[in-house]
Amino acid sequence: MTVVSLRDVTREHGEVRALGGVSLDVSAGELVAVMGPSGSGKSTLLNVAGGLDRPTSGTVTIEGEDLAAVKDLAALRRTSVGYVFQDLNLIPSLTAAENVMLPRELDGVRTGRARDEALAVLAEVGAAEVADRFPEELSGGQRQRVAIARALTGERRLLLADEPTGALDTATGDEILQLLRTRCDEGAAVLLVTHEPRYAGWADRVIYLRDGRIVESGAVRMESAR
Amino acid sequence: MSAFRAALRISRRDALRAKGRTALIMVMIGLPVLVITAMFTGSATTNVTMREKLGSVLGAADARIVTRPFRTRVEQNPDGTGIGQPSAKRRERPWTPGEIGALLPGRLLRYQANVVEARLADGFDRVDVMEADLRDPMTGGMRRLVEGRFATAPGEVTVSPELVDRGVRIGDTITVWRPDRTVRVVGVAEHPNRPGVLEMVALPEGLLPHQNDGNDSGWLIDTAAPVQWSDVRRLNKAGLAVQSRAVIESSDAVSSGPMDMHRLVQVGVSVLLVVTETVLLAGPAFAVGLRRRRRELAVIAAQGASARQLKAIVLADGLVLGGAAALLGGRSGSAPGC
Amino acid sequence: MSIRHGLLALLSGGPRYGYQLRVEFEASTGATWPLNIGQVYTTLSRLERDGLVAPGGADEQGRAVYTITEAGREELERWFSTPVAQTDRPRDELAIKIAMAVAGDVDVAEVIQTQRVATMRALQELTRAKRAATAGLARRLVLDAQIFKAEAEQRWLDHCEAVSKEKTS
Repeated sequence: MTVVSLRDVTREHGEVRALGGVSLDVSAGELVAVMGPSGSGKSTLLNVAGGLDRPTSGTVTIEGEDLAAVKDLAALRRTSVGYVFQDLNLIPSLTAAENVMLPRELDGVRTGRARDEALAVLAEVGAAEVADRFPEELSGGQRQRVAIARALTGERRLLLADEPTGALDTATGDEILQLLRTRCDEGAAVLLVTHEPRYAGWADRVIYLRDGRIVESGAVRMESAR
Repeated sequence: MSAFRAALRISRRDALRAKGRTALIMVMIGLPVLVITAMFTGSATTNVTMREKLGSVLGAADARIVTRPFRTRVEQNPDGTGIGQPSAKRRERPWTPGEIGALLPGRLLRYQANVVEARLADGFDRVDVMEADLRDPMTGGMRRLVEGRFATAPGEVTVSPELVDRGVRIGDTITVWRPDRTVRVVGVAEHPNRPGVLEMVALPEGLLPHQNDGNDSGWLIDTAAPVQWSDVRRLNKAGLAVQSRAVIESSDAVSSGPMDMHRLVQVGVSVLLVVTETVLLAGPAFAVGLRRRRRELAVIAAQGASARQLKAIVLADGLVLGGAAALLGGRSGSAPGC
Repeated sequence: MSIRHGLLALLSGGPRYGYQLRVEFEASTGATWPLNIGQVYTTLSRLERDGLVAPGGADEQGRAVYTITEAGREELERWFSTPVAQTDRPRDELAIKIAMAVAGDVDVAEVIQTQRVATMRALQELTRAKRAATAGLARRLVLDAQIFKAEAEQRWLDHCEAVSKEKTS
């Protein structure tokens, strides 16, 4: 089942064409890695796919809904799309649990229930013991675990990760990929932007972007071992 | 609702984390609030004491007649403040009780007041001196005898409790400089609404030399009927200022009038200035904080906060900081009044 | 080569017979370097000839058991304490290929892209093997070594592409 689908998507920033006709489908349970030199449009692709940015032309569909017809993109982000960035993911003044609660609270869920949900997701990502710590008291790996937990609260099935391993050593980076992979195997769709081949190796499919276009996709497609 | 709770939580924590910024905003908002409150408290309390201090000024008398250096017409407020008088050639002859009696019949009691330097255990200090015969019932309520007795002869004084705290005892002698005299302490008398004042009370000219007209001297008067505003104006015309119990106690005469209107406008203008100052100062303080928080707001937006919710978070900032600052400023501004 | 030293390292843990050595070697390096039993016995007889191992009789089931000698331990120690020199590695075919492509009349970008797709596929397979390998730190680290090598190759390809693009544009 396709979770996010892009059709001939272009995105222009004034004269600059960041994306030039990209088509891409990510299914539930699929981990797709996006690679390419800096400035190739990787982050733009992620932003457009998650509704942080609107395409100049082409269509983006998330769980069957055409984003062009969605008025409240904020609500869509709260309920369908989770973001994980390289760093500065978490709000420093909130504890890990409170960070995870935030999207649910913004969605109007009662504080008590949001907290219960947050603790459950934190346990799933192996970060239960840091629930009441502040981000600055966490290691880089723990922070990313919490960020992933937050991206997954509220039954969200599309997870967009922009260099989530950027600030981590390779062993911790592997742990984060292992976690993303597990979430994937449990039915989430993950679109991962990375410039490190070792992390792209975890993907079912690797896409190369160059100058806003996909240069290789199908050729790297692997038959899933599962 | 829970979204706003989350917003308040973020603001509260941020306020605790960025202590410098918080302190800055608190000062910028709290200080003007403090000034306004202190101003209001101050003016409220002085208004009250105007009537409250009647006892200490007039005792049981109907009025106090204050001599002036000249005998030209006096302008004054109903409560006896704001005294003005055009100057003229000074008269050699001082007011006599007989002259006063001709203008306003009644029993007179002489008073005069000044400040002297007195030698205390730890050196010279400025001490108020009030001279009136406190044994006279007309002075009832001006001072309260705590210990010993009132002065009955020249060279005897009562002292305020503050002077006792400074080491003066009944039976001691105090050396006064200007005029150079030595007085003996016979009692302790307390001022009803100036706790902490350094004061000695003696009989008229029992410590101070004779004070000329216009030099904080005059008479208390006990009249048959209350002294009215018309009486006051009559004495003003003759060159005397008057504080009348009846006039001051009738609140209409005190609170209305052109001077009070003027005062109201003054207060209004100051409040306006202070509020403007707050807006001008606090605005940039919040703006500085916001720029630093832009990254944080972006993260919150990525988690699905709508534009309205982001505004709520910024608003919560103002609510937390502004509220706390206003509360703090208000409390410390009104503290001296309580 | 390292099969010699690999077997010596295993024998330093105690006497073993031929088949056992083969199983343990593969268990700790993953199926990365498959070893046939013939190679094991050939290597063992060379080690015996050099005096590094000694036949230690037979176990209860009659299998010939080998033990490490004092000279063998010394040799093993020397091996562990000597870093691997760059020049000891076989000539890098890929580097030669790209060099030839740049020098000749070939589409370098095409060569690079083909190689990149192949390397990425290898990387994905290695990662999958690593995910499957839940037990055995030694095996995981050997897989990691290959992942790092593949990654380095991938990075080098990116570099080649960027540099050759600069040259032509």
